Amino acid sequence: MDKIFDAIVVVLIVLMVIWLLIPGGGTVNKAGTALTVWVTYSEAEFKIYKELCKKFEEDNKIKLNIQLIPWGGHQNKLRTACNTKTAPDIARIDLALTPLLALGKAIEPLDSYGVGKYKKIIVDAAFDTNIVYNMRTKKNNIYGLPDKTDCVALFYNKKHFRDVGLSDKDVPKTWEEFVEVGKKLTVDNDKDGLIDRYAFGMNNSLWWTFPFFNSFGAVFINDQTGECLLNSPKAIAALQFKKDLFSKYKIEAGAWQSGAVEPKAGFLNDKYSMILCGPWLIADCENSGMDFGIARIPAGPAGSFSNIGGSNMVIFKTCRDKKLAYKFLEFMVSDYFQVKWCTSLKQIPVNKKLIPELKKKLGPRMAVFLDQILSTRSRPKIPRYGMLEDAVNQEMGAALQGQKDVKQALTDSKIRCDEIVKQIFEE
Amino acid sequence: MKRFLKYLLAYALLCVGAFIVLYPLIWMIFEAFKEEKYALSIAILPNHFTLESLKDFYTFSNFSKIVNEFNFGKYFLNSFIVALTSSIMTVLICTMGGYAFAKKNFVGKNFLFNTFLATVMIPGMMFMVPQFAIINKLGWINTYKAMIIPHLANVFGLFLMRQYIHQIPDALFESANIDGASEYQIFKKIVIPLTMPVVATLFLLTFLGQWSNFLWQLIVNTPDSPYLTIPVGLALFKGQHSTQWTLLMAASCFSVLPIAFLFILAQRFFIEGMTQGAVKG
Repeated sequence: MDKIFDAIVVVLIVLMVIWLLIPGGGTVNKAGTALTVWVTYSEAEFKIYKELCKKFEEDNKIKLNIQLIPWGGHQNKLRTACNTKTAPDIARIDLALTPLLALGKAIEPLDSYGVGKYKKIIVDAAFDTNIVYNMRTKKNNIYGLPDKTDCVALFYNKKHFRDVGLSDKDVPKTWEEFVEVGKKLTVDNDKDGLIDRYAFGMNNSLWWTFPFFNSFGAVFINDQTGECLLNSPKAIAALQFKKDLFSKYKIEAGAWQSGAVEPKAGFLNDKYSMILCGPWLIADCENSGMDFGIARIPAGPAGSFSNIGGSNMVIFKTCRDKKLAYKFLEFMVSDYFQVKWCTSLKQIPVNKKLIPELKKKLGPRMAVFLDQILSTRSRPKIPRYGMLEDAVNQEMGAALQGQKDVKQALTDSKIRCDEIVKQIFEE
Repeated sequence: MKRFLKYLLAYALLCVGAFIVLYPLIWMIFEAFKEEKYALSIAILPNHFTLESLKDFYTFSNFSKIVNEFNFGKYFLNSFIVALTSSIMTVLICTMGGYAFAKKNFVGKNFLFNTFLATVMIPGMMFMVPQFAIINKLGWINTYKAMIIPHLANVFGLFLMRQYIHQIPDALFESANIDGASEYQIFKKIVIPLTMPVVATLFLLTFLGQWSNFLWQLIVNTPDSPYLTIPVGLALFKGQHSTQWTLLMAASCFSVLPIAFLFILAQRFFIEGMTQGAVKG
């Protein structure tokens, strides 16, 4: 038995040495391909994307190496790749990553390629997410083109409206109307003193609060000076209104609290009558058999404004053929690509010109998003934007929970954000 | 009667506690069998209960999809190879190292050990880029080696083994020396059998760590690598705004199996190893 054990140990050691000596591996750029493109789409999107890219391959007589990486890890993977010069030629990135990669000189500014002409063609806020201001050179540069754009709108449950004698005509167009309708939709069916269904379920985070800030005309950060403007009267009014939905009017369920049913699940399970969400929820609602409608964000003093989401396509400094890569980016915002992409996947085009045509093709629900996308504002383009969001989220949480006065919470947010921005710019 | 009621109450409370702990697991299993359209529904049964509606509500297709369309069989095998090899090699290296630091005398022993310990204070993320740069230079991208070897330098494991071996009486080693045992024999006949509980603990912790290691395994593999593992595969179900819940849960059911099996198998050693210090007088 002892000898067998010893023999196993020897064999294992020999195998390990052989295994270590075997040369391995692979590289990011596959031989025989002109460009390597990393994308972070869903499986369904990826299939269509590869199919559509065939036209570009045929037109240019090249082969693309298109690879799918998980959205969840793409920021770390790209940052590691940039630091070790193993980045792909092109990548699809989160909007928030653009300033970090741009100021870190990892991606190519596209101004000299003539990207400026797309300012008139692309949805304003989506295009704006690619413009990064450099504090040192005091210059704006454009670093990419959006491949996908999103915004949020108001989802409402039509059955709940009917239950309380309301119809599509009563869908709130302003925040004042929203409160009135919300009072009717918040119901205690069994009269036990406990609310059975709330009119609204909302998130706390900054991104989800932008529709409030934007429709009240508040600005988060001045992109050029980096100064946080959240202590402005407009921002205070916006957050106060958001808080009042929960604490004063009692039409919001407290869905933002930890342990509560989050807005999307609550809406799908008949707990909340209205939520703010993006077009990605349409499929879930349709699958669940719900009778639902979508409307624009209720208008505040500044109008009906939403926030912008989505992703950008950027070219890395280490790209093998930058001209070809730029051509590929142009292909992605072209009419051919956008029409096919948006009709196959029911998405919002980044190309403004296509909106009237696609409104008809995508149906009335998507048409609301296609309308709303033209009234959106982009997030501040600051590297490590997540740090700012974390700081503001904590302060807003304290305000919603009543631990802090709204004005105090936003003043503290401003102080914290200014410190973070100063630190980032010093770096 | 009073005693019976006491037991009843205790068991009732334990059952509630167990249910709370097991609820996410139960939810995962139910979700894995649901049709996609019912993915986020709180209900576990259809509204109008008939055989037809049950068939409409639940399905086995999520499991067949993840195996046939998403290649999860391969991800599973890769994860298993990486986790098993890492665990065996980590345990072996840490036991040998722990033995040397606990029972051998050499110049700079304490300095070296303290230096190793100090590295624990450096956040793991700091190692990520330099380690990746080395792996890239060695041409190890898309290999098992890249996923296994950088994690073998496990200082926590070394510390754990060293502390445990330190408690073994020196007399045992001295008598083995007098009997003419070689170092290999001492290691095999004394160190390994006596450290079994903590070896099992370290094995389990390393296996668990490697089985669920997402970031490193994502970074050292290109997206088309044949060596992608389960955590990377699972992440593909989660997009920017949407998640394929039913497929994700079906794949998660697969991924918890080895861990559950291993824990059941080694729980005696594991608990013994973890509580060893706590019960010592």
